[in-house]
Order: sequence, then structure tokens, then C-alpha cells
Amino acid sequence: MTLNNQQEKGMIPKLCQLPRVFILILLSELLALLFTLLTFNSAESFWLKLGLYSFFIFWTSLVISFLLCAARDWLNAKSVGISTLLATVIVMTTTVMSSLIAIPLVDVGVELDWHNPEQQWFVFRNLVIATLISLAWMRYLYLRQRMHNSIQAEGEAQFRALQAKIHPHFLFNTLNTIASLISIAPEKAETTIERLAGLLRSNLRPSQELITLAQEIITCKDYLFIEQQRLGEKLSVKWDVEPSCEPYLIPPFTLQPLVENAVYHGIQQLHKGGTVTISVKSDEHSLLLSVINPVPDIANSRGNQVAHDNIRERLRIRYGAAASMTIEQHQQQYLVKLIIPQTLEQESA
Amino acid sequence: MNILITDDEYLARERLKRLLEQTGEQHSIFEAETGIDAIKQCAQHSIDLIFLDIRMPEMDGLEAAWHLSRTEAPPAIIFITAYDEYALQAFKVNAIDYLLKPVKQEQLGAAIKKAGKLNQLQLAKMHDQAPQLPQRQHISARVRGEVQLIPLQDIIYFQADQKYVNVRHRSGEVLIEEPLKQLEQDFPEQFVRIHRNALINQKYINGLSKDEHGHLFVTLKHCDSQLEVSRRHAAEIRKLVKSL
Repeated sequence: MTLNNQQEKGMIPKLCQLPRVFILILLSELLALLFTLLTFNSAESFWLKLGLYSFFIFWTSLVISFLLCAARDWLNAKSVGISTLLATVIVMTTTVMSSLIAIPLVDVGVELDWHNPEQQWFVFRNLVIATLISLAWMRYLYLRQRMHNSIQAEGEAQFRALQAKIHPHFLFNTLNTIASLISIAPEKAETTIERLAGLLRSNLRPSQELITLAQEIITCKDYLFIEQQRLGEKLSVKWDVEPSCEPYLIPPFTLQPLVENAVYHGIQQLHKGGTVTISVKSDEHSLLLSVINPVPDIANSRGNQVAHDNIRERLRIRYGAAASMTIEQHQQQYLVKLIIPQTLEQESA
Repeated sequence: MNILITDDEYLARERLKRLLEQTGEQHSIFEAETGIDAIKQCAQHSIDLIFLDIRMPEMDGLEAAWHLSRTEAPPAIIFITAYDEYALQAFKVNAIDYLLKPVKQEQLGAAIKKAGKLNQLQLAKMHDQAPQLPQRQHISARVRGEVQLIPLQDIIYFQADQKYVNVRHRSGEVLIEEPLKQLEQDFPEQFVRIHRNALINQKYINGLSKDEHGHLFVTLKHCDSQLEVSRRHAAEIRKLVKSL
């Protein structure tokens, strides 16, 4: 019953679709076979019994699926608990009704009698069986629905994470810079394309893999070279990296988005530009990364937020409380600090 | 035509200039690096057509367009942006066109043709449709035919005086025609109403004082004058001053 899963919302599936009706017939027949085998004794005709069971189960399940199909939209709008309850009530009522109809049909000549213990037992037994099957089925539908939702959410989260990496603004500005450089300074245009290729390539790396700090610094430098072409003298960069830190492993795109924010929300917003200072140090167990940049008076930190949340979340998933990110703003200085536990190549493998 | 290219990036200006030269028509081309610079040059060189980049420091393209629409002879506007922005949607009404970077030669040609065909009446109508811009960071005033731009953070108070509103700022005073009510609506975070005729910038509030008749006054930083607080606003202002 997983056909057209993608287009369907809600717990109760569309039961009136032809492939589903076919599956329903098949399941009813299996159920009938099961009951026949359980209650068969050699004095009776196997086929007659199977026929009667099949007919009864068929008809009951067809009526139920018709009713659920008709009430589908209404049921799916309710909460899981309520719609389970209502669907089960539909199943129970239908079962009782068709049991009552079945009694005079199966045993020709017998009339409905409320006080007949055999008839009472027949109806009661059918009701209990239908209720149990219905509850099991609702449980299955609920789990299926939840799995479907979580797969969708996971896919969306991954997609967002990937999308957050290259900003369309940056890409089109870079292409514009290259278009301009081609006639003015062809060599620079060439180098810019090489750097852009480098940046795009690091973007395509699997996001779960750790990279060395040295690699991340190369990504940052590719990015900064490109922005340098666009912003010219407005942008200056100061690197302060302890060489001993370079072999340590960090998640990709930990430092680069911070540098990008520093340029985008800091340097670019200032008429005179400014300096981005990037420093990496280490203490006993951790790497200490920081990015400092000037910001205009009226700082718009909305855009910053997305990148920060993204990094914070990724650090939390990987390192838990061992990693941290702090943001400070002193008048016109913006400072982001990261603390990441030290990991070397061998340890992670 | 007198054409002004406004972009904070040198390479972006260079490219647009080259593309304009390649159209084969004779234009006088001017360049500006910020929105503020652009507004000044529009008045100086009687610009017919302005290319406005959206993202620029100090004053962005949208705000520059807003102020330009309120000048005496506003130029035709073509917005340029690297990526289609949501904010731009509303502003399409007072621009001839908007182009995406890297700009394509044919599209540029088409946009310029459109600008050339426009008569004064059509242009004026276009500018009348400019939407309100509550997030603007400057107030523009016309002083002897020239546009003067005052950063919002430099403004100490607005005071209504019959037909005009007097803007008192860090380096002087100037009259504008925007109604006080509109200003109050546009800058609810920075400015607070203290009287039927006055809005003051919260960050310049120094304290409160009372005269011998029991009237309440606000004293202000960087400004000698005291402004009267009306009875209606007194409680609110007292509370505000306490919280500062």
C-alpha cells in the first residue's frame, strides 16, 4: 500500500485506487484462507467454508474501504489519535452490520435472534477480530506516515545545508567580475576562474568528511582572492595561523562561512572597507579559531544568523559540548570565536 | 543622453561603461560609488538615465531611488542586481527595467531604448508610483535646489512648523515637506512622539525638566533647545527616560 506515496498526505491512504483494491482482495482472500484452516474439521467441506469466509470478509472489507475512502480527507484533517479512533469505529460498525446481515444469509431459514448464544458469539468474535486487525493496521499506517515524514525532513535539511554553501549573490557577482576582467586583465580573469573552480570543488566534497585546517585555509584563500578582485583595496586580510595547527582536522566549511560573513556584512557595507583578521591558535586540547571584522553602525545581522546557526549545529552534532561558538560585538568590531577539539588524521580513522 | 553608472565596485562600473560604449550611441557617462554620491551627481549633471546597483554601502540602490523620485527632475531608473531580490519586486514600478549581473548586451540596449522613448509625463508618473520605504536611513531635503541628505542617526528631532517640518540635526537645521505622521510611522524604533508637533530621536534624550508653571520639557544631547512634552505623552516619556 505504498503506491503514490509522495503525492499523498495524511495517515489514511487512498483506498479506492484500483491497485489498492486489488491488494485488498488479495489480503482478504489470505485472511479467509487463514480462518478456514484454523476452524476446519474434516466433517465439513473445505471449499464451502472457504467460499463463505471469502465472501463475508470481502464484502466487509470492501464496504470498510469505501467508507474510509469517502471519509479520508475528513479523517486526515484530525489528529492521529482521533482519526485512529474514528477509523476503528467505522471498521467495528461495518463488521457488526455485515455480521448481522450474514446470519440469515448463511444459514438459510435461521432468523436473527438476540438471545441465541451462537449468534451472539458469531457477532462478538467478528467484532473482536476486526478491531484487532484494524488497530494493527492503523499502527502500521502511523509508522509508515512517520517514516515518510522523517525521510522528507532529512532530505530537506540536507538540501538546505548544501544550498547554504554557495550564495547566488556571490556566484553572480563573481561571474560579473570575470566578465569585466576578461578585457581589462585577462590573466587575472583566468586566475579568478581557477580559484572559483577550487571553491566549487570544495563545495562538492561530502559534507560529513573532515578536512585538515590547511585545506580549509586554502578554501578561504580561494574565496578571498575572488572577493579581492571585486572589492579591490577596500578589502585587506590579515592571517595569523600557528603552523602547528594546520594538520588538525575540522568539518569542511567551518571557517569559510565566517570569512564570507565578515566580507559580506562587514567590509562590503563600509565605504572605506577594512581588514578581516583570521587567527588560529591551539591550547592543550582545542583549536581556537577567530574572525574579526569591522561592521557599519547599523549592523544588519539577519544574514549572519543563517551561517552561524548552520556552523553551530554542525559542531554540536559532531562534538557535542566539546566545541563552542561565541559572537561578540564591540561598537564597530565584530568577533566570532570557535573552539574545536583537536583531532588528527589517525584518530578519526 | 547623460548617463550615470552607480556601483560601489570598480570592475562592475567598467564593464557597464564598456557595454554602453559598444551600443554605438554617443552618451556622456558619469560614475558614482554610492547612493549619496549618485543623488548629488544627478542634480549636478542633469542626468537622464541612472543605473543603480542595489547593494551598496552607506545608501543602497532602493533608498537612492526613493530620494531621487522626490527630486525636481528625476532621471529614468534602471536597477542592477546580481540576484533577483525580494525587495526589488515592489520597486519595479518606479524603474524602467532591472538588469541582472552579468548584464547582457542586448538587454542593456533594449533598456536604453525604452528610456529614450519615455517623455517627461510618463517619467513623472513612474516616479509618483514609488512605494514608501520605511527602512531608509536618510532624510532628504532640498536646499536652494540642491538635495541635502541627513543620516537618520544624526537627526536630533523633527518639529512641525505650519506647512513644513524642521529637522534639527548634528550640524544644523533644515526644512522638509514630509508630514510628521509619516515620519513617525516610518521610524518607530528610533523616534518617539513627545508633542503634537514634535518627534525626538531616543538616543539624544538627556533628561527631563520642569519649568515654574509645571510644564514638562525634554533636554537633549548636542542641542541647547528644550522641547515641551505635552500632557498626553508625559507618562510615556517619563517611563522611557527611566528605562534609558
